[in-house]
Amino acid sequence: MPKEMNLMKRITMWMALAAVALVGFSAFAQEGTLDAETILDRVNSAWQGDSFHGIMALDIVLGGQTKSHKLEVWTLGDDLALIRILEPEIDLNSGFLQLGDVLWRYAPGVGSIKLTGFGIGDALFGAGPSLEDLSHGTLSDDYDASVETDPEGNGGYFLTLVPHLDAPVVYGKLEIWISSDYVIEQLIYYDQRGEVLQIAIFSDVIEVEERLLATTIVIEDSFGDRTIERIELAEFDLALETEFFSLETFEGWGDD
Amino acid sequence: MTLTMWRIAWRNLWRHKQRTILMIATVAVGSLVILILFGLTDGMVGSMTATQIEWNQGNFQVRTIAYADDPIPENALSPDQVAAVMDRLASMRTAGITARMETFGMLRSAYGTDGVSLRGIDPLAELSVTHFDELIVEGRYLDADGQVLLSATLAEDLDIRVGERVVILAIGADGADSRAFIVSGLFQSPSTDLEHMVMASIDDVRAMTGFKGATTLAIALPRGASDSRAVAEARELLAGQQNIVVADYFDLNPFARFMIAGSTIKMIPFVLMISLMAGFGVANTAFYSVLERTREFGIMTAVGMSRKLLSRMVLMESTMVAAIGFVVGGGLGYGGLLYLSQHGWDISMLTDMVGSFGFPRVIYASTSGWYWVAALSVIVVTALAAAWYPARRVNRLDPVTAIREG
Repeated sequence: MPKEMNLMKRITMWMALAAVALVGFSAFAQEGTLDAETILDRVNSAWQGDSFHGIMALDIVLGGQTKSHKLEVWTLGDDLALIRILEPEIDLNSGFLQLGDVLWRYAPGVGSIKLTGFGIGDALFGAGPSLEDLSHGTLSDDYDASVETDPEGNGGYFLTLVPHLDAPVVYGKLEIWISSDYVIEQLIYYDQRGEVLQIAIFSDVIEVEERLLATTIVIEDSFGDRTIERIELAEFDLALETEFFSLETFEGWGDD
Repeated sequence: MTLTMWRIAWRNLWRHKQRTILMIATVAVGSLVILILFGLTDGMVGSMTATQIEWNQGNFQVRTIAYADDPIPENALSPDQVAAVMDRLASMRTAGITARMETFGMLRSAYGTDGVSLRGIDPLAELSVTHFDELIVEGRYLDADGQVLLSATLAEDLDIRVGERVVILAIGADGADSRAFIVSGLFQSPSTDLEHMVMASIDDVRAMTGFKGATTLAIALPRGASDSRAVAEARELLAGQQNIVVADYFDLNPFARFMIAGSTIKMIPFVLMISLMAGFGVANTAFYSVLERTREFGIMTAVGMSRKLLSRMVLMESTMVAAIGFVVGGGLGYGGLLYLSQHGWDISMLTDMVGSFGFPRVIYASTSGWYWVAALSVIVVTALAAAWYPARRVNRLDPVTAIREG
């Protein structure tokens, strides 16, 4: 896989996981028994339709070697996303632009290159159940979900999602631990043989504009490779215009 | 007299066993290398052709002109065109005809993603063209929608097992579409270019791409039927159909035309080199043998033996050496070719390096009798021509000088 696609895969993985790590803090009071779809809708509801701006640091550990990146991210709704690479220095001001199904890669001096639909599919794939799966009512189309209350008695939830046989999902099972205030604490992906493929652990939850945000996410796969993601800045409900998500924005980087 | 000369020549040869064995070995190695070279080169081309016809393309295909230039589903034959072609070719004597819908996509497992060529087939009709079911090494052939066949190599690369779910992403008329498939079986890919081919039912691929027709119609001929005559007949039958072409083996494999044309030309320097090696080997040794026996030849001439007979004797010695070398080398070489024609030579290591040109994983040597003629004409004739100079020197021998200086 080309280097930038590998990075993009990990970035989009972060975006999907960061999204499920958010919650409308005061939106939901504790209720009685909820079904899995309702719980996940609540986990994601704060994210949907909002704009977001953040800075995050990524440490990617592959084969024992660590590469560090710092990224600035803007999103608007589900379809628009812009990523600017701040570190390492050699990649400064290069980035990615997602316009619906179309993904652009930008590098100063080279310009913008449109990546195929396969590229974005490949990138988003790393995140497992996408935001759409979890928040747009398609959960029941693709998964059989079961809910248990937190075995440790903390008032949270333990969800098991098993993809339907015909669901376009390569995982065998997903296990999700959600706190009583609807923050995902842990997500485990299993392959179809029951082996753990990947574990994502969410921690360092802070409150940002009445939302709860896990600012550290550690994703470790079965080969021992890890991605450690730390959110250094998070802002919500900005007045972002759709025009901002354009190739011209790329060109303006470096002038500021 | 002649028989006596042959006997003397034979005895002369074994006066210096090592030298004679060296000459025989030179001719034997030359014959062996030429036989193997011809047999493997022809075998490579033959195996490649057979593999593509029997396991991939059929004897010829019908497609649109646009698809030949740009193989995407948008350029597929429409359902009406498919029906019209089937109707017109119905009068031909074929072994089978099948519609396929092919596109490119990404295959995903829990452990990785790889680019694939997705081939939608009619599982039953396909077997009249390629007999793909015979290549299944694990699981079973397609028997329902929602299933795929993968090559064992691809399955190993992406850690996929029979019965597991994979996701295929393909670009269709309405953008990208992802679908889940269950792996029904794994096939042993007969050539490198089929390792990344995934087979599913044509209805599934049509649904994914949004195109209802077929990108190609593959046609197989009965054994022994002439490809060129069948292609000509099909072209005649489809002459009235606009935007439709009949693609023969070379249209489908332009690289093969280059290989066949190139292989003969490329062999010339090798054959020349081997001939020179054998020629110099024999000439050098025969010449040294003549020099060594100069005094002996001088005495034989002085007691009344004609120089013509002596030079003939030298030629006889070379002839016997060349003949023995040819029989030994030719026998070993042909034995090797016979073995390789039955058991084949697995060149997957090499084909992995050179990439997907449709090379078969195993090539079977060709054992045409013409290789004997080629080796005989090249090696033996060269060896005899090389012996001509020492024989000529004997023919011009002055007995007095030979006795004095020999």
